[in-house]
Amino acid sequence: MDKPQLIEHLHEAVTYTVYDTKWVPLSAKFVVLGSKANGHGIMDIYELNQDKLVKVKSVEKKVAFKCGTFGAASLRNRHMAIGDFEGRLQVLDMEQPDLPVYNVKAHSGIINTIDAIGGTQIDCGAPEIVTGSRDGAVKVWDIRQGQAPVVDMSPPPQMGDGINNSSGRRDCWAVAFGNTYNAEERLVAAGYDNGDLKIFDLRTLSVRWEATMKNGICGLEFDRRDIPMNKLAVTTLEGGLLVFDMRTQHPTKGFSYVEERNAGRSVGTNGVISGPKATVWAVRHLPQNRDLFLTGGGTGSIRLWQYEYPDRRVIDDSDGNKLGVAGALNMVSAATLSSQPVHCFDWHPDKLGLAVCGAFDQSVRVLITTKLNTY
Amino acid sequence: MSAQEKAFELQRQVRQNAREYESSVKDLYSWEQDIKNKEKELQKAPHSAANKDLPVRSHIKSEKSSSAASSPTEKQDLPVDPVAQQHKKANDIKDRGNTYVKQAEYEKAIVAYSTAIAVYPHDPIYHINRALCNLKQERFELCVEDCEAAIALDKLCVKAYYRRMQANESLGNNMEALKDCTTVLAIEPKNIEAKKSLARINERLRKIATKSGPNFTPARPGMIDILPIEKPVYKRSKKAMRRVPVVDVVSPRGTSDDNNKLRISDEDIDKIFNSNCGAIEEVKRTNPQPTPDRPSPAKAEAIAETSKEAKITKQSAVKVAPVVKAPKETLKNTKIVPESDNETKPSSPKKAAVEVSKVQTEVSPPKTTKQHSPEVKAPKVITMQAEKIEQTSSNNAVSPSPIERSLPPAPTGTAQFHVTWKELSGPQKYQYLKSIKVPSLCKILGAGFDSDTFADLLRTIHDYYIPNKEPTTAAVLLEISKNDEFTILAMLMSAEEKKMVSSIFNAIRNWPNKNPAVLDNLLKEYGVS
Repeated sequence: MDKPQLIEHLHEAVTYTVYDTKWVPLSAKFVVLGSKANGHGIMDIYELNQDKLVKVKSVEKKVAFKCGTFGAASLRNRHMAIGDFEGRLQVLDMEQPDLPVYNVKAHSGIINTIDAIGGTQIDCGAPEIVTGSRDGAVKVWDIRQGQAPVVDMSPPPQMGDGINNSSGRRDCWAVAFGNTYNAEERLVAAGYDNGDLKIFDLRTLSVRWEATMKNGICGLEFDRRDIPMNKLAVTTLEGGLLVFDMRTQHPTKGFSYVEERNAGRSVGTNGVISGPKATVWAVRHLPQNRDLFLTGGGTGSIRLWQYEYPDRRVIDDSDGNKLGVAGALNMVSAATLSSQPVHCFDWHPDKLGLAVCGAFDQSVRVLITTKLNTY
Repeated sequence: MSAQEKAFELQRQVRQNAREYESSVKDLYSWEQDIKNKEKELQKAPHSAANKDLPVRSHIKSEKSSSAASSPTEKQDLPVDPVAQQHKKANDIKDRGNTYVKQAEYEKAIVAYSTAIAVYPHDPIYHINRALCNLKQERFELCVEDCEAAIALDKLCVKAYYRRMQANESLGNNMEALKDCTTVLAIEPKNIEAKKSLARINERLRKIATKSGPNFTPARPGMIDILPIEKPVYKRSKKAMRRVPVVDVVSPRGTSDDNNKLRISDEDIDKIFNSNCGAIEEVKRTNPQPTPDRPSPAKAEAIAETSKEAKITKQSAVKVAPVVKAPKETLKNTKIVPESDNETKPSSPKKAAVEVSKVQTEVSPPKTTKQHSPEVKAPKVITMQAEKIEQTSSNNAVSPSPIERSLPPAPTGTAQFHVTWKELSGPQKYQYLKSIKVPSLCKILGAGFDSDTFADLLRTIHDYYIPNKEPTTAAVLLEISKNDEFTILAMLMSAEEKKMVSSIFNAIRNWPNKNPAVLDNLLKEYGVS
């Protein structure tokens, strides 16, 4: 038995609904974002201290927090970009969280998802934040620019034929940066509630590719953001997990993918997969090994996957076009943490195997994963 | 594995996992200390300056688009092309006009745009902008003219159609406006403005229509009248009548004519759908009904003329009649007429006739240039063809006379050649054979080269190459003889074919630019003394 074990190291029950957990880079601290029962937003900073968690700081604001990221922050200036329930994007300094560094009314609806890039990576363009909202828009922000987004990818004001426009705009559930391998190139992948997956090219300001999944897209992540795009993991409602090979784009078929339909169900101790086809809420690639990633499922289970590349990643089809070949997915390990969905998860960028996750049972868990170095 | 061993294994496993976890935790604690020390050091370090060297994306948007078009290694020069310079100059003038428009000084703007058009007349944007000014100044006729000029330059110029629509609306030309509006929607289906306008114009048209009766478009030539069927009451459907909304559909009006549209022959359609039912049966073969647009005296005269020719079968008589007419038609240059007829009456005898006439006109040009009167020449060609039909029918009684059709392109492969070859008429075979490059002929004939094809080739050479003194005759014969199948085919030649071959060689011998060596070689190959 030399498989990695996912072990719950510390457990902290909180008095609010957890929406996001993120490690503070280069520290043993993490941030928990959530919503109190009275609708107020709360941000707690915890520090690991041997066998217990110490609450370092707690900040309460009027509006519930939904998501946050340190992606655009440098190591020294710990600025966290946070999206809230009223569509406001604010950047808070962890040292003085009371007064935001940057504050903008970004969307008309709740900001569901946020991603940022350019903080610590060298030679990969400007620090930017992307937000996706219930109002259907995906906006890219540069806090040096002021109150307007640098790129705004909103749906057109009126779609449909006058009859079918009652449904209005799609709800954007997931965004992710990728393909940022030099100062110019940058992509944003966006997933919507109807299963639409769109990839926007920020250099040419155009839609690079779009496809539709069977179910709404809950989570998106490129395996690495600062390399020419390699793989994109997509998780959906009803237990779908898809991994796209992003190296080769076929002119008509687009990108190839491998799909796993049971990724949201729980795995028993004896390896039997059971339970309903639950949503796969999140996907996070291991920062130290891009072919390992973890998914958080609706049944409170988490699963560690390994992507196995095919023998040849590109083949020529009958028309002489290049067609990508998807690899295979192996489940490496699984663990059930909670009775409620594990919807947010973050690997520590500096410590292999250390992770923090939040579940809807109002608790935060610190996990240790062993034997990851064997992969 | 026994139960005891299993239990032992499990225990060992648990212990190992526990040890593993313990070491991980120890490792984690030491890392915690490490990272906390590092963090403290970091706090002491001065604040790093904000990353200012990277430009904000929206600030570099404009230069991005230009740099994306060309590689960075390319040096960007000012356009030295005189036309490009003119365009640039005109654009500058246009920009001045645009500022006038913003200040609502339309007269000055019109002057500016007119100057721009004079400097560079090939950009529709100047016309569109001037059209806008004219529209604002309520000079709608001028606006329409400008829009038409813009459309002539760019067929998909949405703004031009839209402004013409506005002008036409103001002029009261609702039908024209409707057409323009549908054109805009055909180009840009999501144009909300145009959708609104369409609704508005339709509403207006409906009002006018109820006042002064329905507004039908005038009947076009070539339209088919569909007569209502009278059914007795008991046979009528019991279902309630349904109202079907009628929508005006107008495709973009282009300046180009519709003549060069792709036409697909019925034979090809049959082939596509794999339902080739042979030649189209000419039901009214024995008494072809004169169609109203064809003067019957001419036809009678033609029949009288051709009936003098011997050996004309009744079958070919039908074909002959229009053939005589064909040169007249070509003289009038009315090539469009048969095409439109093809559409409406696909299986009428007239269609077959039209096709024949086409083939004939294709064959005859070299001859008509020699002789002044095509009418005299035409019957000759026909007789030749009539003989041809007789020959083929005597040789191959099963297959009817080949269907005349336009000459196919030169074949690229063996299969294509053999399939096409069998369906061609005599003169077409001649043209077809001529279209094949001589050196590749041997390869194209390939392994499927059989005696029928061989006989056909000989006949074609005998009937067409020799009378026309084709310089490639000897080369073609030589090329045929290079085929692998040739040796056996040459041995199995019938007496008739042998006669044909010898007559071919006799003819070649008398030609001035003969090559004795080649001729001797051919004689040996074909085994004719």
